[in-house]
Amino acid sequence: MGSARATHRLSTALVSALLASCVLDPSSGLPLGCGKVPITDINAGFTLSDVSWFQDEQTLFVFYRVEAEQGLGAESLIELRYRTDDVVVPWTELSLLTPVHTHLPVDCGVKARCGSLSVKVEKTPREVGLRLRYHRDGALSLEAPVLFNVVGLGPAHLTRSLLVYGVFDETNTQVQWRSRNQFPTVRNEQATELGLRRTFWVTDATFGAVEQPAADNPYGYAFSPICPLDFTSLPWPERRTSERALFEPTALPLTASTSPVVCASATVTDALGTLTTTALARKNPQVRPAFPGLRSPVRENQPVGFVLRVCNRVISQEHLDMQVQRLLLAGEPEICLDDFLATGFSDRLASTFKTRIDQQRQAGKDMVLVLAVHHDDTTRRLGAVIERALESVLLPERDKSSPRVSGAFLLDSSAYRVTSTTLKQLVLWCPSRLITQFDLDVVPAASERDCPAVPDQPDLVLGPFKLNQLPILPTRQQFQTFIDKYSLAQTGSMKKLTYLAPERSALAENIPVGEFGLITKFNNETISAAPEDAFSFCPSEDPAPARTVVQPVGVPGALVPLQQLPALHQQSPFPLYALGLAWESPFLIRAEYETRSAIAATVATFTLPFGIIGTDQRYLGAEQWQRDLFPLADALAQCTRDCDHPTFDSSGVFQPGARFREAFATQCYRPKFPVPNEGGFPRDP
Amino acid sequence: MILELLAAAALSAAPDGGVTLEPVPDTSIERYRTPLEALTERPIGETSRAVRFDWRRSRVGFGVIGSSLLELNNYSSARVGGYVRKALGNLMLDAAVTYVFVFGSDASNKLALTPYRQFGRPNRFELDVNVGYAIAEGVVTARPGLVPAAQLVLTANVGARYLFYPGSLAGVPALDVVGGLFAPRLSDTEITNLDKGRLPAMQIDRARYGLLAGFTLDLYFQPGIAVTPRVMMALPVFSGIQGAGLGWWWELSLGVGASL
Repeated sequence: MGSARATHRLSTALVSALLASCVLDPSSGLPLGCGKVPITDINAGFTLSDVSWFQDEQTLFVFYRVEAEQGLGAESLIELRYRTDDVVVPWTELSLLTPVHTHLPVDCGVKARCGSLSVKVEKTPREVGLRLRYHRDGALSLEAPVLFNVVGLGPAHLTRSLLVYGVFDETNTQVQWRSRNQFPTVRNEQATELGLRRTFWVTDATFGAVEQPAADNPYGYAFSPICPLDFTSLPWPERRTSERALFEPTALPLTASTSPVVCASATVTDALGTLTTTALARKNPQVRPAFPGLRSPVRENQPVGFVLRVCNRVISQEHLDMQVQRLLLAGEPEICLDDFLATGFSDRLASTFKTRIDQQRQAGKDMVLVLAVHHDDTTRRLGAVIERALESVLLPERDKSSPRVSGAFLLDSSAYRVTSTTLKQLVLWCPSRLITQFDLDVVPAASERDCPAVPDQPDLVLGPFKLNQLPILPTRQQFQTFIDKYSLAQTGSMKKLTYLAPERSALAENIPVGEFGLITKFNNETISAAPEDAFSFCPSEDPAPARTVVQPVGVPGALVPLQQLPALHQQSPFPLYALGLAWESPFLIRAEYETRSAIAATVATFTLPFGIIGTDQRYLGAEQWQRDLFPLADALAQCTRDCDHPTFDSSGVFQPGARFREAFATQCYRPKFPVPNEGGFPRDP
Repeated sequence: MILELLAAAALSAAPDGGVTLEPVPDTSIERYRTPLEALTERPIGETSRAVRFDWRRSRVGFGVIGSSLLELNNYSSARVGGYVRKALGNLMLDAAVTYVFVFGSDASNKLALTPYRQFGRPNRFELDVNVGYAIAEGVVTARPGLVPAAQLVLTANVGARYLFYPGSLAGVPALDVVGGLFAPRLSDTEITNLDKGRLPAMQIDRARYGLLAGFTLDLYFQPGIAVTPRVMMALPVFSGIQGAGLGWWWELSLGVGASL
């Protein structure tokens, strides 16, 4: 039954397809499938029919491209007509006209005919027409809408159909002479694609220095009838080509190292004969990385631990033990907080810290003050007292050379938010009180971002099972709630704490920036620049350049981001710029800990807690201290010579109007220079 | 019987002319007497020759084939090639390879002078695979009489056709050739290659496969000579997929071969 139904469907489909083919022709959509094969229009049309007459060259250039939906045969012809005051040329097949220049046959595919022609026309042509004759034996034709231009007399760089200019390779020692087609409506490479080949040759090359050519002559073609007489001759022979470019195989001598240009006599052909004038090759801007990178050795710091606790009563022994374990402070000195409201408590606290820090300093390593604060003060006055003590300790240490105290790391009993502006740059206070009202204008400090108090996670309840996990740095309330549900054994534990911070040299200088950040000039890193130098900044994904700032030496307070150095130097050049690195947290903590996904299974009234053990790693503080090298070579380029010369873009196109100083101040400078033996038709749209 | 009559005649006349005793006519055999005319009209022996050819029992058949394509355009096409075939019960399977010569016409030459074109197909090879089902058969007498009687089989056919254009894959990367050989429609590269040698005013049809149906009349002469006229019609079922410009068209072919 099933096969019969399938056969029926197949038969129906076949019959339908047959009927459809009878109704609609697949190609034209016409109902002609059952009858004779229809004839179809090839829909021919000109997509290019540009004609230009150059008065100075007495040459008429024709460029055409005609396309059709179907093949145009070899019998199809392109014909031209025009008239002048002296002559009337009727419709004439292009191949029957005598060309002035070389025009190669062009294969544009079976659906197109294209090409070019140049003929000598002495006087201004009129009634210029171009048409396609479908067949040489037929009379039917398609006339083109001709774009006709007359280029009158004027400076050679504006009124000639071919310019000659030179460019240099990456080493600025080898010259590539190039020609460039210049037509009103046809582009340089397009003229080449349409078969036009122009012969030019270069002789009498010299080198020296010359003023920049006029703005309307960016290639410097014919900037002078002859090359300057004070230029030094080069023993280069005549070079001739019918391609668009030719490399001079001989390199410039060392004596030409400081000469910015090479000038030569360039000759091009036209209907009247030849034209010889000057061509200019300007060296590429001499560019190097302005600074390879900021290197600041990042060392592992020694933790200096204290347990600050209420001694005259027990608040929660489990919580205190957890704090001590989390910070790995077992055996560290304890400081009682019972009289923290007493006058001078903060001074005594600071004194205790300093005493121990000075003892540890003799080991020669940078230090981090690590504090577990166990209390039940809800007035936040204890926090203020500790802040004062830390300010007293850390602010002097901040500007010292290594060994010094990089900062402090606290694990408080409840969430707290540091109030001291300067201390926010130096302390990682965990857990940090969340900003209750989200405000885009308020940027939280590093500790607030890195160590926020995590809200209580609701239990995940699956039937008789409850699942949850304790944050590794919890508040006491979170901790107590958790152990009531899941037992103390499921709270996890800290395995290792590593403190990393940059080493400070004796020359290092800190400059506060705003509320949360500091800029450190580590070791007198500077960029020297001449007034005529130019910089180029290249944005990148690497955060290092964005964290780098420059300061003109001798101008305190004039700090600018690295990306603004090009503009700064262009407006008011300074001979020396100091480099600094911005940071928000003085150290990086790598915490390796064991987590437990706690599960409590309740059967009847009996609850059995158990957990699944896992390990995790987390970074707290500034992750920029994971490395000690902040590369800048790709971010900042410095031009030291010929900075007003044009240069190449990243695709290898010579940009005569894009001088390095203006064009690349805020763009990446990644030029692609010409190389010998890469062909005679460089990219030059 | 003849010998008995001759013996009776010899006894009635003596050689020496004497009187002879008149014999008594014996009429006992009269009832067996038959006139000579009647005797001569009677058959004096029998022989037979088989005229029926059992094509189902032939091991293989082969031959040459020629065709004319009626594509309903301004081009003429003639096919020449060979075939092999094999009977399987009431089915006849055959495969053929042919070369198609395509000619222009005065109409196509004149069309080339205009901006119009018409679908057609250049010279090519064609590979056919057909299956036929015998729907009528029998022994027939041929005219004129010197043509021996023959076994006639009328077969309904359906077949597929694959077109191969020599030179069309020139310049196609080797890895793409296999895919290009079996794609349902000719690629742009193939069209470009074929366009160089197409006939005037021809717009090349892109279809690479064809589906045909029709009838075959097989005339088998002993001992196995086969004359096979065939008419097939192209069914443009897959024209849309293949981008075909030709619609329905016909093919008339004649095959001559042998079945062993």
